[in-house]
Amino acid sequence: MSTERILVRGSPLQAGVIGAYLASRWLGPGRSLELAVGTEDKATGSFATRPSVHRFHAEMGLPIDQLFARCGGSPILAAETRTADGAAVQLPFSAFGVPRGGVEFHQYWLRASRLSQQADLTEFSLSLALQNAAHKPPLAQLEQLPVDFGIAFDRSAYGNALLSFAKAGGASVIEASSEQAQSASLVIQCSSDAQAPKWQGQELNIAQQSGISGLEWHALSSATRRFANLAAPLSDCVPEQAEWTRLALAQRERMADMQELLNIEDPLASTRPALQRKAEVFAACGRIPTEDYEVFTPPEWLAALWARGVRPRRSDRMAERLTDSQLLDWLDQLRGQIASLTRQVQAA
Amino acid sequence: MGANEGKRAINRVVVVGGGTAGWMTAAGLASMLGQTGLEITLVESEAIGVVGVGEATLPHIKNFNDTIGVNEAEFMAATSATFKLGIEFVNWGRKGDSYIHPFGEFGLPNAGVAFHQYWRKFAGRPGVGALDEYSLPVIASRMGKFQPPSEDPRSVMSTYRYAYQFDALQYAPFMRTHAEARGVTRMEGKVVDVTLEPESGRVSALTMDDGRVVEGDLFVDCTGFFGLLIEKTLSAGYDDWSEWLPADRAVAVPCESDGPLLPYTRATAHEAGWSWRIPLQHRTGNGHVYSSQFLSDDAACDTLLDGLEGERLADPRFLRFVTGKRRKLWSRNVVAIGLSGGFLEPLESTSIYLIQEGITKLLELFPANQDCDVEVAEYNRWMDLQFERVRDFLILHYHATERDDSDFWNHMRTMNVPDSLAERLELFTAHGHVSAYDHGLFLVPSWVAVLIGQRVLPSSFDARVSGQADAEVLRHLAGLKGHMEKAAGSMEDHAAYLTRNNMMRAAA
Ligand SMILES: Cc1cc2nc3c(=O)[nH]c(=O)nc-3n(C[C@H](O)[C@H](O)[C@H](O)COP(=O)(O)OP(=O)(O)OC[C@H]3O[C@@H](n4cnc5c(N)ncnc54)[C@H](O)[C@@H]3O)c2cc1C
Repeated sequence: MSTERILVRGSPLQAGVIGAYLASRWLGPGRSLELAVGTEDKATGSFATRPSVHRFHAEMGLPIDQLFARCGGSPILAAETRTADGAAVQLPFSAFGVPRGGVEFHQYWLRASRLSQQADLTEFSLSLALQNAAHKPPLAQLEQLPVDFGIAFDRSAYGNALLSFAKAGGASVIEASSEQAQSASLVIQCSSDAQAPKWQGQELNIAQQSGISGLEWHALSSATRRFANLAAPLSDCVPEQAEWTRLALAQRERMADMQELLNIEDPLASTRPALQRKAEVFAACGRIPTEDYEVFTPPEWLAALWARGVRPRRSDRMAERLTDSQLLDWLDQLRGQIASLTRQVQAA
Repeated sequence: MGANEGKRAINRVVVVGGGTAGWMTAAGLASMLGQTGLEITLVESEAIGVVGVGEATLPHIKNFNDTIGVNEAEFMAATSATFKLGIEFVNWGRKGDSYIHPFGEFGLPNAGVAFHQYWRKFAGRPGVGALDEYSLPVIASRMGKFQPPSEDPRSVMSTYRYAYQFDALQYAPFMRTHAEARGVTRMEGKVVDVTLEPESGRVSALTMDDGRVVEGDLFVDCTGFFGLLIEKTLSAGYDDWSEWLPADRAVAVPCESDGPLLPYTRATAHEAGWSWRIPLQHRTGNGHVYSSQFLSDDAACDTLLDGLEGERLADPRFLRFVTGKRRKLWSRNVVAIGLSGGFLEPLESTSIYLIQEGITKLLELFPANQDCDVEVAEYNRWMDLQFERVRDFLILHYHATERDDSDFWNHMRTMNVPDSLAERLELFTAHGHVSAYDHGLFLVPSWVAVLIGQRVLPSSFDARVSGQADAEVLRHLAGLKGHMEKAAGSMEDHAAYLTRNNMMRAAA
């Protein structure tokens, strides 16, 4: 049986993320993994991930708390980005308030806002309260709270830690200019331009993403994970290639929807069908329709639509099941709870 | 359109039809929106009656019941219901084959690799057995046992869900009691005329056979195959899917129960269709779904009667249908829910699920006034997707077969299927990977159950399986099978469980 050889080309961070995962979830008898690590990343500083980072690392058997300590980790509870005109926008990973009776919190908030002046919707987000607090809670404490979070690592420390993990798992690092680094059964690389993600023949291209914190991580990790989950002999994998490409393109569309939402003047006039639908349905009734293979969570979409000025014309009728006073009391209570939880976490 | 017409508030809903769809809709709306001042009226005609079939369900119905506050024991007793852990398919891949599509998982994943991939590597080896021998709900079904699943995700007892099999003629009255207790007004009589607003073309009122007029803001058409509002009045159009699902008739007959009370439905393939067997507390429901292009009514009826396991309790009843769905399930101010919206044969008990999905989406998008084109478009998009995904899954049952013993099976086996299904088949047959989606009824284990149950064996398996020593995997398979058999053996007998929990209907 001939050996299957995967060659990963990329920066230390790219090769680290892809290599570490494949070393633990793909490498085995009859397979080799080589990492042709290019020059150092131009980017420095911190590297944001999304909540799926926990699963990604758990699957490869590299506990997140170890990385957290070694790579200058800091929890992140919302993705950060900017609109075309430079305004900062935070997209919280977890829900605003808490849903009640099958209805999302913001529907109750919308109704309450018509009854009396209400605090801004963002004040009902525990994720945002913690994200913006002076001190982030320690990992162990965060894990006890009803919030999803990713981790921001020091970029070079994280890349190096993953490269070491990949090497320990059997991957080898080779010179990018060496002869060995020119071909393989499969070459995985990240294109920095907007090139479509594609797995065809002996090449698998991961389209790099930027603009929203955590997306670069998402593009790398989800592409790698999907490849590993569609495991098949590299010489006989045409249906798997088609499936990988189909899913990667679908996710790219969802990311492009978000990018456009943040940049287009009038989201309701978008020519992207899924985005236009989100904006229209949200404006009509406050619901946010989802597609298959979403990248962003519903609270992130809510925050982005809100930040871009899309406002529902009405709230959900099911939110009218509470009396006015029940509703206002509940909102007060919730806000109090979020504030006190944030204070407790700060004090700890 | 008058300036304020589009802005008219929606405060009066009229549900036309008192079958399963009508009373579920009325109960759902009343439970979730009754407190908001919504007036709900249901019009039904005893003279017309209900379709009277539709007895096997999917696990989602428990969510519906829980959401609207139905007590399970009361519901079971009132509808002579039994529990259902899956569907047994007999004679589908080949004559003589049998497998169960369970409401649950196969085995447990290992190192991120689905269980069926490990099974595939060793399929055919002595002692390994069929895939469904590694499914707790299948083992329990074959033993005639039942127990509600555990909530502890670490327990093998948490790897399944359950549904119900109930008497269709008792279910709608049960929902009616629930709905009326929450303020729904019932009107008996036949709708003989429908009034439309002249400019908008929306329905404004119905006229009953005794001259009464019922006005409303939003109308839910639950008139069954009649499609009184959605089609006869608004001509929404119909997407005919009989090209892929050519069965267009059914004959149904109840019989006496014979033998133990089984916690599953059976679907047995025949010459040009299939028959159902649904065990209830007091009788068994039976029916034969067939294509009139390939089989006569008499022959279909004979096949059904020959297969009855107990004394027949009524005369056989024939039903006709065209598989497909309305082009617009919500048109103007009419929403079609139930048979008026479309029909997909009951092979996977999906109709009541689609009713439930229609109600849920209607509640989520419930419009404030008549100016609701966006909500209507979103409702139709969502329901179209649901119908299409169920359709593909049903086609799979007919297409994934080696049967060549009749013109019908030769046609089904060799026909062109929708691209969406063809791509799935290609992916699965390569290395056993299943293309998953986020918005659709049938999840990966369901696809695996039917594909493998009908002999679509992947030519190879997930390459990661080879990373583990054969002996280790075989030991794991044997251990898991034993563990599941033991767990299923510890469950209670299905009938005993119903009795002990006061779920048996009192004898009349
Ligand atoms: C052969 C067969 C087997 C099936 N098996 C299953 C199954 O196992 N599982 C499953 O989930 N589903 C199954 N179904 C589907 C299921 O039966 C239906 O989805 C369910 O019963 C809902 O029917 P309905 O309420 O839409 O229509 P119906 O029961 O036909 O009710 C129509 C109502 O409209 C009223 N009506 C009609 N016209 C007028 C009028 N002019 N004025 C006043 N009232 C009017 C009638 O009186 C009646 O009350 C099956 C269907 C068929 C045909």
